[in-house]
Amino acid sequence: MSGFFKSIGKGILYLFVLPFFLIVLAAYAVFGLFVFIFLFFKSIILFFTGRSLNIELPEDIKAKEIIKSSMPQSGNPVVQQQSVRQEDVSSPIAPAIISPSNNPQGSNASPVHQNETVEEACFGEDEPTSETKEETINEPSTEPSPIETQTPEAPIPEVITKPVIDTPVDNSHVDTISTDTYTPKKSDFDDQDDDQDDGDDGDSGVDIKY
Amino acid sequence: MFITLIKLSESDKRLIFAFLLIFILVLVLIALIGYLIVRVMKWQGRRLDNGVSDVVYARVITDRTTFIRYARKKNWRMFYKSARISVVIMLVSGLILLIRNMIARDFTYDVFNTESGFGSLLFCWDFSQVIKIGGGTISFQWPTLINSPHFAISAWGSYLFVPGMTIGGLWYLWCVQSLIARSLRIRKLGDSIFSKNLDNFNQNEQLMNSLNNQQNSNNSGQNPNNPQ
Repeated sequence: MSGFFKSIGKGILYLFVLPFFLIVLAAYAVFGLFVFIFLFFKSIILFFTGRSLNIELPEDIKAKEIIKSSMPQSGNPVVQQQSVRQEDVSSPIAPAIISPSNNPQGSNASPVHQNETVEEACFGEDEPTSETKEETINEPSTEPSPIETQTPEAPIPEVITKPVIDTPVDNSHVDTISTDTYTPKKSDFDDQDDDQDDGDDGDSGVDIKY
Repeated sequence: MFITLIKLSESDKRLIFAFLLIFILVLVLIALIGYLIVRVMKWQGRRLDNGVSDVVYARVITDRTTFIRYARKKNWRMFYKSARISVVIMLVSGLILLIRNMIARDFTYDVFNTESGFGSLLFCWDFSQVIKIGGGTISFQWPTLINSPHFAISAWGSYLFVPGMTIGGLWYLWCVQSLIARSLRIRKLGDSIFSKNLDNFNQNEQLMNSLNNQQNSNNSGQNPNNPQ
């Protein structure tokens, strides 16, 4: 019942406010029409000068640049790896030089570098994640790392190897596979990221664990 | 004299009660409409946050005046982008009416007349004879129907002009309402983002807390910076 009386009171209040609201609405409508005409002619002039009347202002562009430049500096290794791969994909020379059949450096080339470019040339960007996952799981069964020999009951995902792909042409690369451990720096951003990753492990498709 | 004036019959009381009930219902209806408008305007205002959040997060703008100037500029551009279609609809409708008038050579055309205007599609009543006052009596009559809906080919201009103008006008008013909502949101954000609130700050209290801590640590024979 009190709500009913409150709504009656609001009705009386709105009844008094309504004319002022309509006046403000009409004033804005008329003023907006003038501004619309002004912006219309401005957009025409900008069109003939090769530009356009965007919602994006110079401040927005500057802000996006700042945000974009701050992304690779974050301690999250996933962000760093993605940024590196995008740069490699954009370079047109990389696939031609490091293809397995035409590789002039032979087995002396770095396997990590080969693998990235082969993935890009053959499978695209999403493949390296799955390849890395397979290598991480399969590698300890053939050549157990020193960490695993010391603590056999320790969980495997704590050890991260560099992304490596088997090259079917030359098997000598197996000996050069690096088993370096990766320990990223811990930061506030990592804590937030870990919390988020705990919830959606199955959907993300990225299975990189520390 | 006064007593005779306030004497009311049973039917008068019922009539007054009915009017009072209708008045209360109208007030409740207005309250609900106003509540809806307020909620819609809050929703429209929050859409501004998508546009200005990057600049605030990246700290490109660090003072209130610059933020308000930037947000207003963006607000008008958003209004321009959103109101383009409605203005085009209204312009096309006006152009249709102009062409119709030029074809018929009649620039005194009433688009709402019941013969060759949009009124031909509507029910029209004559309310001029509803209340008759004369001879000390007030009499009520039902309004007489003067037009029932029918299609007139000569009213094609008004059939296109009136709906187009209505749709375009309402759409434009919606955009204007969004503009007002965003303007209010800009003022609110300008006050909140760069506010320096001292409500919960008491310098004396902090000073006393630090002195108490120092005294406690001295009593216990420990360094205040190193409680171990």
